[in-house]
Amino acid sequence: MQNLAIEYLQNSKNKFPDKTALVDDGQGITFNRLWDNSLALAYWINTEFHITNQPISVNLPKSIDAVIALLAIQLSGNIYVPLDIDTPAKRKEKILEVLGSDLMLELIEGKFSLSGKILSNSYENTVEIESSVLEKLSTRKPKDPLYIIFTSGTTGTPKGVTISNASVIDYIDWAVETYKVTEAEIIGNQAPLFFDNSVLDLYLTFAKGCTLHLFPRDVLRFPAEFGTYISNHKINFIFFVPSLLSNLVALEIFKDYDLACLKKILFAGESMPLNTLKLLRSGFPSALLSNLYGPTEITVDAIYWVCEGNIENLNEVPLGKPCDNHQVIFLDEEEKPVTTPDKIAEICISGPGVALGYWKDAATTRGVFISNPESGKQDETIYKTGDLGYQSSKDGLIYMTGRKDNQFKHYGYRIEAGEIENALNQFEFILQSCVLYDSQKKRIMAFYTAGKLESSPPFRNLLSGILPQYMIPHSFHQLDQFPTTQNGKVDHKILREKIMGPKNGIR
Amino acid sequence: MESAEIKLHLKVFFEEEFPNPGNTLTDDTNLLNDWFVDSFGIVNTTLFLEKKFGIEVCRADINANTFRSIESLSQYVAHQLKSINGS
Repeated sequence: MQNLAIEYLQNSKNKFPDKTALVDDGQGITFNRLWDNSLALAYWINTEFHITNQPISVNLPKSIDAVIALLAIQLSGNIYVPLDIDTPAKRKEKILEVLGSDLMLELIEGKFSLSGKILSNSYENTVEIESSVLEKLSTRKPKDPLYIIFTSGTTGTPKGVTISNASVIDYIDWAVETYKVTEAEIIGNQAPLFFDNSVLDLYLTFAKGCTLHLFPRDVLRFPAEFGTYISNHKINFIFFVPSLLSNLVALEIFKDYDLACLKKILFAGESMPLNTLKLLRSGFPSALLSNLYGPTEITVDAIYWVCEGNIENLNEVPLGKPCDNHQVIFLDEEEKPVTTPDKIAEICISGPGVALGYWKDAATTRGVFISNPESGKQDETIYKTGDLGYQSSKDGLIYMTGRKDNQFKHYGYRIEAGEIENALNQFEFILQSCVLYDSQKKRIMAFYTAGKLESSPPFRNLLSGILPQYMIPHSFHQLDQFPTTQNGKVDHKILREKIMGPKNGIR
Repeated sequence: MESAEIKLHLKVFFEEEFPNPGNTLTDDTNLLNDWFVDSFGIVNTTLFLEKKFGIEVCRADINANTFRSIESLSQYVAHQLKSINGS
């Protein structure tokens, strides 16, 4: 029985010591080296800091060193927190405040540093180090937290989703089985480490002894670079956000490059447009295509669908059915279970993937991690996703229809409109603001009312000190006044219709 | 088509598609690092070039060099137009 997620790597380095585990920018590292380097860093954390079960943030660009940092922190019995290195300092400060810890792992002149101390020793006696680190780790339990990933919060303060070792093990074991993952897999990683889709790439690699390529940035921006990289390195497995796949199919990438090696294409993070799916299917007729769904709070994914058979009759891409050991419960606005097929209600999830909650935020946790209202199941915790959907009476599959609040997905990033509005409202000249998302054009639009302005304010410059780049609106529109509902709130529906014309549905 | 005309079309396109109030877009502004042309923007720009100038953008040409600035894009467009016209 596996207790901790790190045991995946321990087993694989015994089986495949000299196999390449990770490749970044042409540099590779074997399983053995990855293990030894992570142990050495963990040993240093243990001997210098004497801490257990504390969050340690990782402020590094995606790299082999960043992966070593995540491994070392868990080996030291602590909780890793991957940060977006490009996020503004103010937002990082908010995250450290929520964590209640300023322990931050960084690189200074090529050396690991934690809160001002620099790792300068090189440890030769790996046997002694290993036994010391593993002995301390032996008291750690499956339900202990493995990582904290921060997501956008409506009030402007990000929320720290806390995930246990047991949740990751349940998810990875399911994925290995479902996608028949073996050591032959060569995985291409798109997701940043602070986005939980990367959990699948990393832990499948550790679990089965695969090889993981961390894609250089231009590979994801330029289709030609993507095509060349995939075919040169024989990448056969990718887990992408649909937007990037849409870009590739829009430029008919598979016509110019030999991508026949790509055999398993998984996607999640936002809705997959049906047209993109059809183009993918025609470009990759024999590849496994699978749509996955899940907020960070249920450990990457809880619902999945494998695209098989004739897809011509589909009207939209289904989310699918629950992953093993998970259940989907639909709740109405009064949190009563809805069992009628085709009836739209809130998608709620129970199972081993459900997070431990939001780090040090019991009130927000209580609001969305609730006791299962189904009879006889009150001991079970379910997570209310805020997503609306239904189970179809035609095929029994789950479909998503929208959100019950103002959250949206942009390139797979989950964004609360409230976080952007909050940032805008900090500027003195803004009277009121409202943020909408145009999912067709993939654009965040900000609307505001203000006093008399001489010229349009340099919004992008102003916001780049507060928000990460992916949250900065694409356009800014000054209004004389906002349309309001009867109770005086901004009427999103009317605003949306005014800007984008009628029939523009969900955010 | 003259280089100045190509640049003007490109400038109008980028200012409309990627408005950045308070900042000036010049021929040499780095579109990828200092303006905010993302991966979806690269796809849209490619489709715009093909439609507006009637050129075919070879997929291998969609790279950081071509898309660096209005200057580099206009040179690329001019080169493609020349090869179509065979002059």
